[in-house]
Amino acid sequence: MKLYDLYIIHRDGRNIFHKGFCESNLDATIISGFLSALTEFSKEALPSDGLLNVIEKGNIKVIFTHGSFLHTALICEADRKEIIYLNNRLADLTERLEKSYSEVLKEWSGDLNDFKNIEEVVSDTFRETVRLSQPPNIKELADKRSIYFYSVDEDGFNIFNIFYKDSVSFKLFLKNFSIPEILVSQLLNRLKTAYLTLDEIRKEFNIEEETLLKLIKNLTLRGIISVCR
Amino acid sequence: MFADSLPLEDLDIPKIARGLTSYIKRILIQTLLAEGLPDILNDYRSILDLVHTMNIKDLKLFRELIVSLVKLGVVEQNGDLFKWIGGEIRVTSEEEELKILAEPWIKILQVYFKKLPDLLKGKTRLQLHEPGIWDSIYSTPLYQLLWVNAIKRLNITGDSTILEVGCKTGWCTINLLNIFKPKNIIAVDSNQDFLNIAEENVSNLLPDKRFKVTFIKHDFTSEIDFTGCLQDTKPDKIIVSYLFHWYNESDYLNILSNLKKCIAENADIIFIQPHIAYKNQTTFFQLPLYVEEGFKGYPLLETLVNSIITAGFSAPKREYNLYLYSKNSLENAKPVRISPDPPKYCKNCGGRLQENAFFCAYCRSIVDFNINLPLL
Repeated sequence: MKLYDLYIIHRDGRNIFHKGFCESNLDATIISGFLSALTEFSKEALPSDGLLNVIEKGNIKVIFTHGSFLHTALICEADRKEIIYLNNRLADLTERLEKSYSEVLKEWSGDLNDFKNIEEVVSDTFRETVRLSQPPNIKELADKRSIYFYSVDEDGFNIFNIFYKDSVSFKLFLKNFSIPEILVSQLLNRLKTAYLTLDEIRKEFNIEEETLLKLIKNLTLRGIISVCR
Repeated sequence: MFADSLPLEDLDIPKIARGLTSYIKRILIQTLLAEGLPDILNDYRSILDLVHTMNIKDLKLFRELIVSLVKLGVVEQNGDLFKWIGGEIRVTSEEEELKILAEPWIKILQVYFKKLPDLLKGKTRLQLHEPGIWDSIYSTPLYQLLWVNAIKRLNITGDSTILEVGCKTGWCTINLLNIFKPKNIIAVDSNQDFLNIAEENVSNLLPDKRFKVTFIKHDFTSEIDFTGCLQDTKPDKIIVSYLFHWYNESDYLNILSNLKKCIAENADIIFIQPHIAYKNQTTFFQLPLYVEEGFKGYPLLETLVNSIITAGFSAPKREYNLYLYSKNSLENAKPVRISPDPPKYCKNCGGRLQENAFFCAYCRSIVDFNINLPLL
């Protein structure tokens, strides 16, 4: 699965929060108005009791969940099983936000400062999802190096220790690209405590960029390193 | 990539099964001790009573858990009531041996069991599907042994075109290229993340053979005709790997019929699906896998076998209880009825078999199910 954008929209159509996971050229305000209008339209025009859950165009899906005050919409690439998973994550997020901001949401003036810490709630709810999703491609990571940060959470660290640290396949990979095993352990330990950009890692660990990108690709694809903006 | 592996006959599978059972028992006891179940179950109580006390949301899974604990001798059953009797949590020597053969599998189970209490309390299932599982199990001696024996059955030659359904992270593809040297491989998976890793693994480890592999994202339950993806190619050796537990029984026939449309006549096909259930009930082996979003339970032997036959393949032969071998035959095989109970006595020597035994403990012959009973 690949995540593009997350929108948290007030039921009156105003955008509350937008998070981009990969580079896209969408305008958050326009998109949130469009998504909200679409939800309302489907409610009025389509002969069904339920609200809009998923819309699809080619590979791209927009997954919706609806709370009492909030609509959340996630633009992504996902298969059927992943849609169920993402839907559950969105439902968790909606529930958490409506609980945390229940007073604000009842009569929201439109002041975005009312939603302090919303980014933390989103990051916390989507931490695992981001780790499991496809990272942006290497070219994008290299070209837009200053906007992407790398980190390792507890689960990512455990995955490395359980599945890869002693795995024959991972050792083969490291051998193929002459990457010392110790360097991987050091890198993961460092990323457990800090969010670093590509240049910061390169400088700190004195690795050639091409090798570092290969290693990052390997570890992000396997859900060990998370990429965030 | 594979080291020289033991002949399958030399592998003491009953011993491995015992090691796995004692391991699961130990981990389950530890998990449930942390949840306080022994204190709650210090006297006979019904499942409904427990569900209420422990705020359990997934009743079906909880029932399966309690039944599994009864089977493992950790909980005592008296009619509809259950009581904790506990069990040893020391590491057995059989567990240690299992660890040598299949360490990542053991670690995976531990990860899954840790998540089980949350799942019972209604937390949403996890989208694990960790590529790490597939990146690591291919290198275990146990997997190598089982895999090599299953693949040998296909008689792959230098002219073979292989269709690999469920290629995961590409290790089967890599080993096929290395060991059996087929003409080409069409590696299919419904998970794009796995395909990305598979492609990376093959490109990194066998760059000179990468051209032989075509990776395709496809779900055989979808309406998209897969023959269109193959152009004029007709694969003649088919490997279906660990697929059916991600689908409902009602999808089996659809998957198999769609598969049949795109393969060569008389193509050899193996379904690597070691966990095939005789009865429609959860065993403690599959209990932790329910942690994963989309896990539908292991296929029932009779359902899977009859789906294969109805789709137009020859009556599958179950070998080593680990995989099913069939052919894309033009002959119409009749559906079969398979007893929901595994065989109790050895066909060769008549010795009584242990539960879920793969080998007869007396004559060492392989236990197989009886598939010769046509349905009326």
